[in-house]
This record gives sequence, structure tokens and C-alpha cells, in this order.
Amino acid sequence: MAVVHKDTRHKSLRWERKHIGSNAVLIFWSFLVLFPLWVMIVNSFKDRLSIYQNPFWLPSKWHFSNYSAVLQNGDFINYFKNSLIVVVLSLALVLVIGALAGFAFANWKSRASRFLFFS
Amino acid sequence: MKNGLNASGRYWIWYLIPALFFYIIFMAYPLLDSLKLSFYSGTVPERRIFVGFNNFITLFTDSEKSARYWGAFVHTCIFFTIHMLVQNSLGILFAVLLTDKTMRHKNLYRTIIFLPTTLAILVTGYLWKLILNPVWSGPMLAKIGLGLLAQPWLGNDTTALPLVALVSCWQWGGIPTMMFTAALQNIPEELIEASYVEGAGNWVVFKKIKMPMIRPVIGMIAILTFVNNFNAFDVVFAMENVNGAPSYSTDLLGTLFYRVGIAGQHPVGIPDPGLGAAIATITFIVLCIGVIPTLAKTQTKE
Repeated sequence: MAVVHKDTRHKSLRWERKHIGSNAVLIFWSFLVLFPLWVMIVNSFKDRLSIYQNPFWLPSKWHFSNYSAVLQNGDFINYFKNSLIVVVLSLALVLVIGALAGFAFANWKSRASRFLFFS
Repeated sequence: MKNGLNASGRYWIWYLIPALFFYIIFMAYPLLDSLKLSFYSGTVPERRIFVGFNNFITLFTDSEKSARYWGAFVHTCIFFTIHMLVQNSLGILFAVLLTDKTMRHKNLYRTIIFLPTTLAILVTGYLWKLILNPVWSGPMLAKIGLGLLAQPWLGNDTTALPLVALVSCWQWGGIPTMMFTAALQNIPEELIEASYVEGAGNWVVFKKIKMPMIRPVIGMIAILTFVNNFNAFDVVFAMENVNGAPSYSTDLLGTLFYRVGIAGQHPVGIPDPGLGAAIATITFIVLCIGVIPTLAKTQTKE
């Protein structure tokens, strides 16, 4: 009898730990997040007409011409290079300057430092 | 240098100089220059004349300009309120769910929630604009029995602003989730365990233990939301246009500033940088009035 009792308690605890409500909320949000991304990726393989005929599902005929058009006509490599320069430079400056200033503010405890940087 | 690593020395003050240099050149100087610009009139930099408070007076007395300004102000407040209610409540909810010890697939969910933040709002705004287009998504909605949802959401002046705000919440919801998750993980485990042992339920633990412990982060999130929303521009630009279509119903302070100060308004088409700077100055003052008391109230030292 005692064993059975223990077993059902264990089961109900496991049942509780499946977090049905929490998972339902998170799965719903995941769907909301992933759906537009799905639309974006799927439609990148369609030609102009089939995007309107079939907006949300896999293309009936896969087109890769959009990708080759971007790479060939769009000067994509140049834009990518420009973005890379901005990212690398700003990341380097932020890391160096921010680390130095962070060290100073960690040492500096006064009214003035609290005014300059809320901490 | 003679102090070396002596704790009483102030050698570390030199470490501030690079940051101070960049701060003055790229933040303080442009800010003061734009405050100064709000007292000037004229489109060409060399031929600006000092006009005192005239830009501010025009902004609030000219019937059309003041109507636009107050419209944009009210829309920005609605935009901000929707973010506080939807984005930050969802952030807390997701963070509480994702810090539960017995929950599974937490990393997967966390990645998915953060995913939209990594995308450009111009891309996601355009995607949502397509999805919310009844001509485009109507047939599919009708097929799954939700044909009622195929409405011109972004073309109707009562639903356009909430929808644009919700897309922005969708985009940025990962940031409060991440910050609240980090804050909740910092709460000592004993505190929560002890309150469960004392017989508190989930809601009581959340209200009496978790909420007070993450109060500084709630304040920080509120400030970030406030500042970002009062400077918002890109989501309206991506989903509607700089005129805040339909009929100025999604016009925010950011788009109004862009039209007045940089691009030029509809009937004249010539930008008025002085008036634009006046709008920016008022927004800056509003932000200061909102941010400083919130900081003082929530960022208390423990």
C-alpha cells in the first residue's frame, strides 16, 4: 500500500514538472517568432509571381536566381566589407575605451563619479 | 606614476581620458550644438540667424505645427505604454518560466526569443508588413478559418499604431527577457527554497521575493524602453512611411523630427533645422524629466 502511494505521488510530481502551461506559452511565442523568418527564407527561393500565388509554403519550383542576383549585381561584397570595417573598428574602440573607463569608475567612488556615471 | 599601485593614489583617473575624449567629441558637443541650433533659423549653416525662443513659440502656436506636434507626442506616449505593458510583461513572464529549475529546453526557447533582436528592423518590419497585408495573407487565413483576421490592419488609422508597436515589441522582447533572466538567476536559491518551505505559492514567491529582488533591473528596463521609444523612428519608417501613414496616425516624435528637421515637410518640402532641433530639445528635456527620478528611485544601493 505504501509503495503504491509513493508511486502515485511520484507520478503527480512528474506530471507537474512537465509544465504544460509554460510550454504552451513558449511554443506559441516561438511560432510567432519563427513564422516571419520562415516566410523570409522560403520566399527567397521563389520568383516574383509565385510569391503572390503561394506566399507561405515551400516553393513548387526552387529558384536560386535571387541569391546569384544579389551576389553579382548588388555589389554585395563591397557592402559586406563596409559593414565589417564598421563592426571591427567600433568593437575594438568600445572594448578598449570601455574597459579603461570601467576600471577607473570601479576605483572612483565619489559624488562626482555618481553624477558622471550612475552606479 | 609615483604612486604606482598604491590604493590611495588617483593614478586610475588617466584611464578615463580616452572615454572622456570620445564622449566630448561625439556626444556632448553634438548635443550642445543641437540645443544651440534650436535657437536659430535658416536652412544654410552659414546664414543662420538667432531667433531666441521663436522656434518653440511657432511649434506650439502655429495651428498646423502644434497639431502635428501634439499628435506625435500622444502617439509616442501610446507607443511607449504598449511597450511597457506588452514587451516588458512578456519579458518578465518568459524570464520567470525560463529560470524554473525543472523546465526543459530552456536554451532553445531563450535562443528563439532572442532571435528577432539580431535582425534588422527594416527587414522584420517589411516582413510583418507583408504578413499583415490582407491581400497577401487573406487566402491562407480564410483557409484555416480565420478569414476575419484579414483586415487592412496597417491601413486603418485606429489599428495601425498598436500594430506597429506590437511588431516593435516582437522585435525587442528578447532584451528584457535576457536582462530579467540574468537578474532572476542572481537571486540566492535559499531565499526561494525557504519561502516554498514556509508554504508560499508561486505567485507569493514571485510578488514578495522575486519582484523586490529584481527592482533595479525593472527600473533599468523601464528607462531603456522610455528612451528607445521616445527616440523611435525606424519601425514606422519600415512599416508605414515618414509621414506616419495612414493620415498621420502612426506619426511619432522621431518621424516628425525627421520630416521637419531633415527631410522637409509636405507643403514646403524644405527642411527647417532650427524647428527640428527645437523638437529634439523638448524630447531631450522630457527624457531627462522621466529618467532621472526613475534612476533615483530604482537604482538604490543595497
